[in-house]
This record gives sequence, C-alpha cells and structure tokens, in this order.
Amino acid sequence: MRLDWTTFALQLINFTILVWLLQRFLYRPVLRVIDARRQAADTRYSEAQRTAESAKRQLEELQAQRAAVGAERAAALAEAREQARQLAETRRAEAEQDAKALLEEARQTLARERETLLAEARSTALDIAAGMAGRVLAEIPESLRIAGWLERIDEHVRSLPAAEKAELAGELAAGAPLRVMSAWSLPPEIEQRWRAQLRETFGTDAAIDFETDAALIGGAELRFPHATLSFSVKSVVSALKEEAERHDEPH
Amino acid sequence: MTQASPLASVVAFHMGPIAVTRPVVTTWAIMLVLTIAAWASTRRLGLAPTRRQAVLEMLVAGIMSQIEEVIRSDARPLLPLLGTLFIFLLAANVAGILPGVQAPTAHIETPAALALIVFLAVHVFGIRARGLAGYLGSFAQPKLIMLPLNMLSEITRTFSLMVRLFGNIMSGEFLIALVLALAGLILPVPLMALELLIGVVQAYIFTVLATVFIGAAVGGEAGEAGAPAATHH
Repeated sequence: MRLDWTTFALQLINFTILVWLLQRFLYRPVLRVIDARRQAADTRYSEAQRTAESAKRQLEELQAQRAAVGAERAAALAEAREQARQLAETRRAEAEQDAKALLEEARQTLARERETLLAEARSTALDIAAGMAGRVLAEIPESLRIAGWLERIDEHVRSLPAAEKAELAGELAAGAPLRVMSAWSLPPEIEQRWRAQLRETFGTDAAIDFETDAALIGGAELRFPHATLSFSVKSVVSALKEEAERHDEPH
Repeated sequence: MTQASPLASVVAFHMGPIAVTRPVVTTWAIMLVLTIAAWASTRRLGLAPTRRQAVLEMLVAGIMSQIEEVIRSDARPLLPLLGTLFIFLLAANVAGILPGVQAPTAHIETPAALALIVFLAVHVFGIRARGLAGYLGSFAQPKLIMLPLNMLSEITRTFSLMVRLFGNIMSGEFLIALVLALAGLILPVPLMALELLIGVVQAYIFTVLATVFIGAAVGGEAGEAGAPAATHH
C-alpha cells in the first residue's frame, strides 16, 4: 500500500473548501437565526422584566395610595365622629334647655292653674258660704234679720266725717232719692223707723225708697246718687273675695 | 500480469497532469450534495422555525453542545472545523452503502488528510489560545523528561486517528465485498447495516477525539478529563 499524494493533497483542499462552504451556507445562517431568536427572547425577557418592574412600581404606588386613602378615611371618620359628638352635645344641651323651659313653663302654667283653681275654689267657697249664710239668715225671724244691720248702718253713718256726711246730705237735698236696698222686704214699722233715723242723720226730708235685692243675701245698702254704703252679706263676700284676690296676686 | 491492490485508489479521470481518483470524485459529490442541502435548508430561516429548520438547528446546536461538553468553553470558533468533520465523515462513511460507490474514508488518503488537518488545527488553536511559548512549554509538562514522549504522542495519536478510521471503514467494505462475492445479494444486508452503524460511530469517535485533542491544546485539561475511550475494531 502506498499513499497517493495527489489524492491526499486534493482531499486536503476539498475538506478545507467544504469547511468554508458549510460555514458560508450552514453554520453562519443557522447561528445567525439562533442568535436573533436569543436576542429576541432576551429583548422580550427584558421587556417582561421592565413590565414586571413597572407593574411592581404601580402596585407599590397603589398600595401607598390605598394606605393614604385609609389614613384619609380614618381622619374623615374621626372628624365625622367629632362633629357628630359635638352635634349630639349641642342637641342634648338644646334639648335640656328646651326641657327646662318646658318644665318651667309647665310649672308656671301649673302654678297659674293652681292659683286660678284656688281662686275659683275660694270664690266658690265664698259663694257657698254666702248661700249658706243666706239659708241661715232665712231661718232667722224677720224682726231680727235686719235689726243688727240697721244698728251697724246707723253707727257707721254717725261715725262718718262731717264733710262726707254733709256731701251725702247735699246729694239728697238736690232732690235725688235715697234708695235703701235689702235682701228681704222690710216690715212697715221697720221701714218707718229706718226712714226716721236716716232723715235724722242727714237732716233732710229727702225721699227714701225701700227696695228688695235678693242678691244682697243679708243686710242692706244705702244707695245715694253718687255713692253706696253697703252693709250686706254680698258686700262682705265681695270684700273677702277682693282680699283673697289680693292675697293670691304674685308678690 | 500484475493485480492492482484493492487498497489503491482508482483513477477516475485526469485533469491535465493531475490524476483524479474515485475517492476525490466521491468527495466532490458529497461536497456538492452537502452544500446544496445546506443552501436549500437555510434559504428561508425565520424566528419561528419550521420542522426542517428545527431539525437543522437541532443538528448544529447538538454539535455545539458536544464540543462545549468537551472543551468547556465557547464552541463557535471550533464549530466550522469540527462540525464539518463530523458531517463529512458521516456522509463519507455511509457513502459506501450506495451501489458502485466507495467510501472516501476507505482509502488511506482521506483519513490521512483529515488527520493532518486535525493535527494542524490542534497546534493552531493551541498557539492561538496559549501563545507560542506557552503552548510549546505545555509539551514539557508535567516534567521536562516528558517532552519527547509528549511530542511522540502528538504524532502517534494523529496516526492512530487516521488508521482507526481507515481500518474500520476499509475492513467493513472489504467484508461486504467478500460476502457479496461469495454468498449473493441478500446475505450482506445485515453487514451493511452494521457498516452503517460503524460509519456513524467512527464519525463520532473521530470528531470527539479531534475535539479532545484541540481542547487539550487550548485548555490543557480536556485531554485528560474529557477524553472518551477510543474503540478499536
């Protein structure tokens, strides 16, 4: 066996050429596309990383915003609670004031009503008392019903100051009648005695008329043209009522 | 009458004073087929690969992965040489299966040329990686006394590379030819399948050993750590 140097040299050249050809038509294009794909993958990976980082930043911002919103919410809630508390206190104070005012008004109303009722009760009591007095007086004999009153009237008229007495006499001297009012009709002898006493007291011949007024209950009244001298149960009751009313008036 | 040696290359034709033998013609045919196939396959490559492109990328990426596993560094500078070595040997070894075609590697000139290229590539890549002094100094490692043995080893392993390939492919073709001559057409079929397997294995072994030699020259470690055991038939 011997080596064919020509074939050997040709095979050297052939293989070298084949290396170049495959580098040109196989390795380089394939490696280029592999590199391009890898670069594209790297680019996409980088983009994905950037996107992930961006998403992470956005998430952090959202979390921060959410935390801020939470703080604002807590602050708003605290402010609302404080406002509600102040409003409730204001309302409670107003309600307390209103309640106090209502209570005071009710007390006043109650006091007024009580006073009114008391006054009415007193008036009623006096009316009852007057009625009872009238009933009692009705049971007294006629000769005794008026005798005491005449004495009191006579005593009072005599005790009047001279000027006042003269003024009353002057009214009668002008021609006006003196009206003697009594709860019951007087017997003629009593009328006669009264007329004599009154003329003696006032010193005139004035006309004296005797009239009946059941409202007097008991006693009598001397009604001058411009004055009245009352000595009746009615006048006593009226005096008591006035006294009671004065007593009930607020101090 | 003188009988021509079956180991001698048959001259196919002459180009002037140059006698072009059949292995050379077969090699040209293989080169043509490989180049056309590569060109046709890489005409329309896209980022979204078709099935054919995926197979092509898998082939290239697989070769690069094998190289990187051995040399433990970037395989791109070695891809054209080692990738072409593997693809050419694969095509050349199995070419003998075709009727009337002899595998170029069944003749000593082709394995010798390839072994010489590997021998030269080892030194070129070694000097490029480590510098001339550093590379030459590696022959005196680990002891100066190892210098002659290391230099002898460079020659013998290259020779071994050549002879292993030549012997395996040549013997397979001879065996098939003998069985074909003696037993007829059907019987050699299992032997042809075996020869096909041997062709693939030898292409792989030749390429891996070349990678190991270059890796050892470049890094100084691959030749010790990553060298697979060579099989001999």
